[in-house]
Amino acid sequence: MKPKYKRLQIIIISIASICLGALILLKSFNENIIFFYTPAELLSKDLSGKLVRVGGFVKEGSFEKNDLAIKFTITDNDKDLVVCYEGQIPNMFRENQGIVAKGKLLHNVFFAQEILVKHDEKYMPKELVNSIKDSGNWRN
Amino acid sequence: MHIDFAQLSIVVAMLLGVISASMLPLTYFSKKQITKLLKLIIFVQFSLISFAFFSLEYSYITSDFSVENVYKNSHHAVPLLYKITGLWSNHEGSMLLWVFLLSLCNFIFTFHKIDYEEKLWIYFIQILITSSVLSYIIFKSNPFIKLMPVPKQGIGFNPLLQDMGLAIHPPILYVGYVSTSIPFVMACAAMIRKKLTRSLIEIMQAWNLLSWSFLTLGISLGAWWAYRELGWGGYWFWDPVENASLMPWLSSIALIHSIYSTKKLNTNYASTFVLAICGFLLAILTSFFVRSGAVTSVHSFAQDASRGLYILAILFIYSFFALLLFANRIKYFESSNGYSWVSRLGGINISNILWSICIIIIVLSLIYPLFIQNISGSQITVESSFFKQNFVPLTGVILLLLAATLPATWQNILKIHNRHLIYSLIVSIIITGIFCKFYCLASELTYIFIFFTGVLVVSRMIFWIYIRDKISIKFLFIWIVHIVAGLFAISIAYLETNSQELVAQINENQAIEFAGFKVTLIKKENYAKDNYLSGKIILNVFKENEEVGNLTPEIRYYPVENTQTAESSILHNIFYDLYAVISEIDVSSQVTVKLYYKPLINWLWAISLITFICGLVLLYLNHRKRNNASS
Repeated sequence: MKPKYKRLQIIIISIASICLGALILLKSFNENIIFFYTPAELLSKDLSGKLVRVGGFVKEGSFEKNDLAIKFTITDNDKDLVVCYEGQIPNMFRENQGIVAKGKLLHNVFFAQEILVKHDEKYMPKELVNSIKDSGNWRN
Repeated sequence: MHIDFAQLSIVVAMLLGVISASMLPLTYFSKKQITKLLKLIIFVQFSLISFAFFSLEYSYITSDFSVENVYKNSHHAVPLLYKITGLWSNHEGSMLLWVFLLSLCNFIFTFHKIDYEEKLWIYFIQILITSSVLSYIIFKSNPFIKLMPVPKQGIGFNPLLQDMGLAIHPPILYVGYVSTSIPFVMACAAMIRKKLTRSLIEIMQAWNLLSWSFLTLGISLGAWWAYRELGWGGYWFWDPVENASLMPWLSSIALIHSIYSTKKLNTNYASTFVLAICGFLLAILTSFFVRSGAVTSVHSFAQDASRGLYILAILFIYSFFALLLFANRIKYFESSNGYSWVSRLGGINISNILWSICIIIIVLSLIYPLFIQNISGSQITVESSFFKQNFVPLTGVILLLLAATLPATWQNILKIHNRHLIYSLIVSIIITGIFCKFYCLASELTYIFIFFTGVLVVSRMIFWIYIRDKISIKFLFIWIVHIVAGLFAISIAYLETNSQELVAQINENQAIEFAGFKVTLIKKENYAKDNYLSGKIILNVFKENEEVGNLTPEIRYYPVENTQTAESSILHNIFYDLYAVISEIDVSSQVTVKLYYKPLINWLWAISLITFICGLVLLYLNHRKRNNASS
């Protein structure tokens, strides 16, 4: 066929595949993203049972453990949230440390599947910094 | 005192770039003299930056806490090795390492025997890049800030980073990143001069192979460290910084094949240039932007938004000029066409498209959260399941292409030995079937597919070398690097579907059954050493009445940093790792132990190392051929 038509065909196929690819990717994104909240946001919205991430720093004196699980409170200087985690204390975990937990909120207690602690003594998750600043509770 | 001179040296080095830029109009008069001058400037930049780098290193070694960088990242009690490697444990120091390695690459490049006309533009762009990176360091990320009054003690050093694997991971990875600058610069210079000579192509391939090899080693060192140190039995978390490090690696693999097709068939100029340009842009994105705090990750350092913006600005300027150059000059590079898509060349072209899609998936996964945040204010993270659904299957498809097209000819895949492809398919289906039925604990479709593609590649490679008449050393290493790709796929698929874990409470002299092993707790102890206190247990492991070894997991508490880490204990074997972690430093009462069984995991590290070595060997073989050809 004529070069002009062949080029047009290539362009149409490319655009169609790009659109298809973009749609597949967007759908995939929406199925695989997790939202992040601070304790205050999480407690104020009705998100019970939904898989989310919550970030805060560990409140002094709130850490407890028994044989197979640990319990502690995290705060964003606004509200406190009790976190339960069935598993081992993650490396670098300590009081006043910023952490991000992934799990579900049930009856105002957060059941964590995963706790992430960062490998830097100055860590506070960016989301947490932003959220705390937004709520006006930022203290250095 | 020396730190002040160090500060001054990098300022001078940066200003040399400004001076070089002003010399641009003079090239009209004497290209040769200007080239010589630029070569001198590269040498001076290298000397100044080296002086700055080693001055800071000297401050670390002598624990000179008047330097803020040393104060924040070191301590008298830290072992000497980790004082030295502490320089790059933080953002500012690691950027200094980055620019040092960049200037080293530029310096080494001056020894290539190329015409001065080619060199002029290469040197010029190299100097500009070095100077722009220096400007970032000077204005946004200065490691030479001093403290007054001088603190008596440093604020310690993260114990998780006191590990050999992690200590050498940044330098090795950075060699990979900075060496992507050379193909970039060469591509730009070739486009300015409107031609790409054969010797330039070969030098570009050499530096690209260097980059790819070191990136492979660097990324796997990071994964190996994570596996040993983080106590979760995992090695890859699809964290944004990890994903970002994959981008230059993917781009350099695609570039290897693109340059190969350009060299052999005088085609694919557009993809070679685009990949060379993108490789470097992605390396900058990974090294600077992702670690600057703009993207949330457990790896990123401080949160200074202006740093991210500065880097974005630099990236934008590089991209703008490079792509403008490409758009303007690509018409001077005529690619031969008339090649069939159903051939080895077709396989390379399609796989390059697929590699690019992989890169785009990662770029989008980095951008999407930022985008959503700016639109709706919600903060999101992209889960690992996204990558398992999209990225991993795509790599499987690339492996399928490999099996189908690598042994074929450049012209036509349908001509040669495709009954071997059919045999390989049959073998793969049978073996995968057996795998699914008997050797698969967790049936995940993605990994079954990957297993299948891995077996297909391995069997096809075996047929290929079996019927081959002449096996040169070069062919052998190319064969090795591709067959281990198949073995890697098999290992990962088997590992992910067959690993086991168990959490159990155990008393002294008590035994537990796990994954066919009998594990008995025989001793508990507490001790103190160097800068930590430790609680440790000894587990004796038997398999079918034969002793396998001992596992000795510990918890260490570091008083200075007021933090504890779990030291995992691993029994290594060709076919599996047995991995134990405890979580309590007080071992006097009942101990909770977590056990992992990781089959074939050591194949991952072995294959990464083999790939690294093959990359360097192929680099050497190409170089030797080039020297023989020119003499």
